[in-house]
Parts: sequence; structure tokens; C-alpha cells
Amino acid sequence: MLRQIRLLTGVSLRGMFGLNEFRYTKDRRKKVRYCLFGVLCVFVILMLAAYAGGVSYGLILLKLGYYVPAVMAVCGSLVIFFFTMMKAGPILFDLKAYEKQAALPVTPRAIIASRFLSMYVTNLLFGILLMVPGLAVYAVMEKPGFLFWLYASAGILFLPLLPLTAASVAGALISGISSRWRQKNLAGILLTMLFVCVILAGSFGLSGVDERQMEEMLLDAAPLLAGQIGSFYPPALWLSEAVAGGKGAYLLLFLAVSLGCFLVFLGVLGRVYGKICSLLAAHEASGDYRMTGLRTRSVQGSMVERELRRYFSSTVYVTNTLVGAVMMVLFSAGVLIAGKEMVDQIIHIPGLAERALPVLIGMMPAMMPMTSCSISMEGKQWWILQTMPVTEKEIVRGKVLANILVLIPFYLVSEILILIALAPDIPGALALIVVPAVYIVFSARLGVAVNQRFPVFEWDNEARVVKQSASTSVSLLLGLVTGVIPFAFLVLQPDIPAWGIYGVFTGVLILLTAVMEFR
Amino acid sequence: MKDWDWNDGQDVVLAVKHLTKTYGGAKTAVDDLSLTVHAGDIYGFIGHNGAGKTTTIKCIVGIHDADRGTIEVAGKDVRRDPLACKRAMAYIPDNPEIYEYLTGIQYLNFIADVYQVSGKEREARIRKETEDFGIYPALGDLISTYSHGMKQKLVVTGALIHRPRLLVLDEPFVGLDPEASLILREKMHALCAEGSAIFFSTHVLEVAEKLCSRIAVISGGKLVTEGSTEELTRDKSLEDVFMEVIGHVKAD
Repeated sequence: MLRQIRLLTGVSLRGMFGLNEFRYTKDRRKKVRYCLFGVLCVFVILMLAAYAGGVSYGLILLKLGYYVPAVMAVCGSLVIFFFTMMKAGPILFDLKAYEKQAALPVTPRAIIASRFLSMYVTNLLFGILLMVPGLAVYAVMEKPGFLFWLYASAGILFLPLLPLTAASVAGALISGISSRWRQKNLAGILLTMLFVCVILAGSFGLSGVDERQMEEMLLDAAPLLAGQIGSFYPPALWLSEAVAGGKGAYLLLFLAVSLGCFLVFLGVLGRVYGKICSLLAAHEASGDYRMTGLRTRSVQGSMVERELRRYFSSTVYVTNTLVGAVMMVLFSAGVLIAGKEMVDQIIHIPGLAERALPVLIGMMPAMMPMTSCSISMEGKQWWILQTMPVTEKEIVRGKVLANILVLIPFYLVSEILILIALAPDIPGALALIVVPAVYIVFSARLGVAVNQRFPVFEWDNEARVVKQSASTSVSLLLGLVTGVIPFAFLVLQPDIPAWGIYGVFTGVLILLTAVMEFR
Repeated sequence: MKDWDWNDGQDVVLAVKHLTKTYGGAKTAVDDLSLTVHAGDIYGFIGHNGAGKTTTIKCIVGIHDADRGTIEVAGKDVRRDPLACKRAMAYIPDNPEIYEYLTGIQYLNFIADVYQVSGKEREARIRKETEDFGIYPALGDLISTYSHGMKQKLVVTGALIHRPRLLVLDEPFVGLDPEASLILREKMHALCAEGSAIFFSTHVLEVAEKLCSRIAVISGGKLVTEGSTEELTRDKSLEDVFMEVIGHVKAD
């Protein structure tokens, strides 16, 4: 079985990140695109390394060096869990790939294990990116012995297993429950979004460490930090005991629990895997169509309608790109319930909430616009649009309009909640209404522009396009940049009125949108 | 939109002149290829795997840009006036990759919207074509539930919905059952009788010999022979002719 897993995983990994295409393509433009993506990845890696190293340095200065491995493990596990949660189901239950693999002499367990391992490899990279810089700073400052390196290496290798198993359990449960419904996609989307809402609402609650707690933390830091990590994610503490404390028993405990959970999951899923797959694959075909007058639409209307149908047909596409819109609504609801002080606590800058709220709300749906992978999502069906008598502008507008239409309900609910919560004056209300609207339109147009630069049409699983493509990464980065710039001005230039900053910034965004649209 | 203007006075429906296409500046897939397809022609384009058939077709239908040469559809240049050319033609690929998240009728209605076929005409044509192919009852089902052959029939129906002046097909008979193949051949003849032209690639030489009025053979990206089926075959089979010309090319 190990050989089967190795072979299947090898094939799957070759398709990831386009590495195989980069190696073998003779198209120079593609190579250049991949190189640019590589530069972007290096930039992100350096940012992550700087962040992890900085956190580690700060903890050591506060005499909390013992908990560096635990804090890094918590951060790494959270990142892995969030990144995996929304793709685990679609990857584990990738029916097209299953049909190809099921005909081979391999067991269902080997298929599941190989898919799990493919995800493990990508998540191991996240683990390494966070753990290694953090632990390296610790090693330079604390000068630990050989056991530190040995235990740390083992810990890093096993770190992704638990969050990956937890995310896969969630993905498998959602797929299993949706497979019993008639509208499987819709059920999958709703269940995943519900799950995301619960986790986001929980994390918003966790972010609110008030000043009293902060004072306690500084006075009696070590036990409090240990208590917080222990109550949230005990295995991270075991890792600190092992790596920083040199206690081998804790390392064994960490490895055994990680591997044990994974093996139990593999065993249980192996029993029900085929059944879930066949239920998910079972589409009802009635075969009793009667024509009752066909509705005619304009070319543009028809393009938008098709785009929306495409969007809502894919669980992984919807859940990954709609999470920002859901966050926007939850955030506004949070402000309504807990008051704008909640925002001050989250951003840790007292008094900034009122000035920064328009940009904070606008950034959320703009970080991951559905348009950022909408061209790639055409996949092997791209030939249809290429050979149709439609202009590039009509295709682009179809995608942008669909994105805006999807976000309008979230935008309206969020606006109503935040306006009720803050009851702002007219300039404040204008900023709250206009800034997020401009962000939504700009990010939708920017998403298509980026995807036109970095399209991927050859893929087997939608998660490859939605979660692992250059286009979505670049869009995410640009979304962040467009949020950080006005935010920085708001923080660094407190004397300039917020409406002035927003006026200039929205003007720039509108200008950029117009340039992309009419060039 | 209205249907294609049948009285455009264009006898030449497709004119390819000195077409050259290379991939990534390295491999020349099509090399200085020229051919002409007239109204009423069923034009067979044959060649072995990798000869350049699909690349030529993709240049004609607007998927690829040509490096050199021109392509005209009913007198319009594909590069200068792509929309007019696309309105005048329809393309059926070898592998029917279509929107699986739509139902059959949603797909056809989308195609009809884009080609701006009027409500009454689209209903009549969809009903007629899908009943002929036997997929009418399945039109309300998701395309993901269709077999390969059903998808191919749906693509053919979509291609005929606006009565194209030029129908371009890449290996159209792959995946079709014998009855559907026969129906497709009848539809190809009927379309040509109305003044359209058909340009299609195939490996099946028997089909090409029986169906085509003109045939071109491509090898290594170059056109090696072209003419009416009668002229080319005379007392030989198309298979003999094909092997002969390919043999000459290899010997050269």
C-alpha cells in the first residue's frame, strides 16, 4: 500500500503550483509568469519569516522564550487549518480523479492517504515557513543543545497532521451530509459557510483581550500564556515542553496523538469513502423535458447569468471567495453588538475605529474577489468563449457584474448594521457607504485583470485554481496593499481628516478601475 | 441578430492564405498553408497525428493567432473583424468539453442568446435538432449527467442553432453512435445544400472519401495535396492516396 500511496501522491504533487508545467513548458511567456510568481512567493516567505522571527524575538525579550515553539505551533496550526478547511472536502472527494484512480489496482485507503499527503506537503511548507524562522531566532539567542534540533525537526514534520486531520474531518462531514441532499452543491456551500461563520465569530471573540487582561499578562506572563495556549491547543504546549524543555516524553506524546488521530481518521473514512463518493456522484436525471417557451436575453445578460450559474455550481469556489463578504457582515454585526470599542481592541489602536472602519469593511470582500480566478475556472471549456461572437469586454464585464451582484446583499446588510451601530454624521456615513462600494467594484475589475495575466486552464481540481494559483495570490496581495495604504495614512497622519484621505484614495481607485476598463 | 445573410454573394466561404503558426517560437505546427473552401463544399482535412490539423482549425476559429498569413471567412478577415467571422461560423471540437453545471436547454439557450437567435426560431431549431438526435427528453437534465455521445450531440445542436455559413469540425464522428453519425452526415449535406460550407478534420479515411467533395492532406504542417475527391482518388482508394503522398513526403 505504501508504494500505491507514493505513486498516487507523486502524480498529484506534479500538478501542484504548476511545477511540472514550469519545468517542461517551452512557452517562454509562461516561464516568465511562473518566475514572477516565484518572486512573489519569495517576498511572502520573507514577510512571514520576518513576522515569525519578530514574534520569537519579542517573546524571548519578555522572558517567554520557553513558549516560542508553542506560539509558533499555534500560529502554524491555525494557518494550516484555515487554508485546508475549505478545500479538504473537494480534494478528498474529487470524483473525477476518483473515477480515474478507482479503475487502478489501488485501495480506497491508498487513494485517501495520497490525497491527504498531497495536502500535507503543501501544509508542511506553511509549518516550515513559520516554525523555522521562529526557532532559528530562539536558537541564536538561547543557544540550545543537539536535542533541540532533533526534537524541533520531528515536531515540524508532524505539526501539520493534527490541523489537517481536523480540517479533513470537517470537510468529510460536510461532504457526507451534503451527499444525502438533492441539491448537493448548495448544501455543501451552506454547511461550509455556516462552519466558517461559527469559527469567525469565535475568533472575533478571542481577539478581544482587554487592557486588564493585558496588564495581568505582563505581570504574570508565563503561567497566563501557558494557560491560554493549553486551553486553546494543548499539543502546542507539549511541543514547547519537548523542544525548549528537552522532555522526550512530550515529544512522543505529540507524535503519537498526531499520527494516531490521522490513522483513526483514515480508517473510519476508508469504510465510508466509496459510499459518500457514489452518493455525491449520483445526479438525478429525469429525462422528461417539455419545452415551454424559452426566455431570450441580451448577450451581456446571458453572460452574467452563466457566470452566476458557474459560480454557485462550485462549493470550493463559493466558500473561498465569499468568506470576505461573510466576514464583512459578521464584523458589522460585531460592532453593532459589542460597540466600536471592539474594533479598537482588535487593531490595538484606541480611537482609530471610527476613522478606519470604512477601509476595514471595504477590504474584507476585496481581498479575495471571485473574479481573481474566474477566467481560470473556465478550464477546458474556455474554447466556447474564445470561439463565440463576443468581445473581450463583454466577457470581462460579465464576470465583474456577476461578482458585484453576488456581493450586493452582503454589502447592504453590512451597511445597514454599521450605520445603525455608529449613527455617524453625513461625511462619516458617506465614507462608510462609498469606500466599501468602491473597493468592491475595484477589486472585481482588478481580479479579472490579474487573472488575464496569470490564467491556468489545465487543471483537474478546482482547488488548484481557487487556492493555489498565482492569480489568487497576486489578487490577495494587491487587495492587502490597497487596504494597508489608506490605513497607514489614517494611523500616521491623525491630523488629516478621514474624509480627505478617503476622498483622495477612492478617487485613485475609481481612476484605476476606469483605466483597466477603458484602456 | 439575424441569421447570416445568405445573399452576401460570397462563393468563397473560407480562404486560408500562407498560414504559418509556431509554438513558442520553436516548433512550426503549420507552415505556409493555403486552401480555399467554396459554398456547398464538404471539405475534408486529413493527416496523421501531429500533422497540424487541429492547429489550423484553431487558427480558423479564433482560438490561436496566426504568426503569418491571412484567414478570411465569407470575405471577412479573422484578425481584423473577428466578431463578424465568428457570427458566420460554428466550431465543434474533438472533445465536447461544455458547461457541465448547466442543463442541456440552458446551454442551448445561452448559445442562442449569444448568437441572438429569435425566440421562435431557437425553439423550433432546438426541438428539431434534438429530436433528430434523440436527446430532446434529456434537455432538462444537467449536462454532467450526459454521456460523451450525448454531449457531442448537444454541441452539434448548439453549432447549428444559428445556421452558420461555415461549420468547422474537429474529428466530429468520435464518440457518436452509428445512427447519430448517419444523422450528422445528413445534416452536413443539408447545411451545404443551403449554401453553407463545411471544413472538417478526420482520421477516418472511409468517411472522408464518402462524404467530402474536396480533400486536403497535411503532413508536417505543410499541405501536400489538395483537390476534389474524384480527382484525387480516380481508380484508387483514399487510403492508397494518403499512404502514397505521405510516403513521398517521408522519402523527401
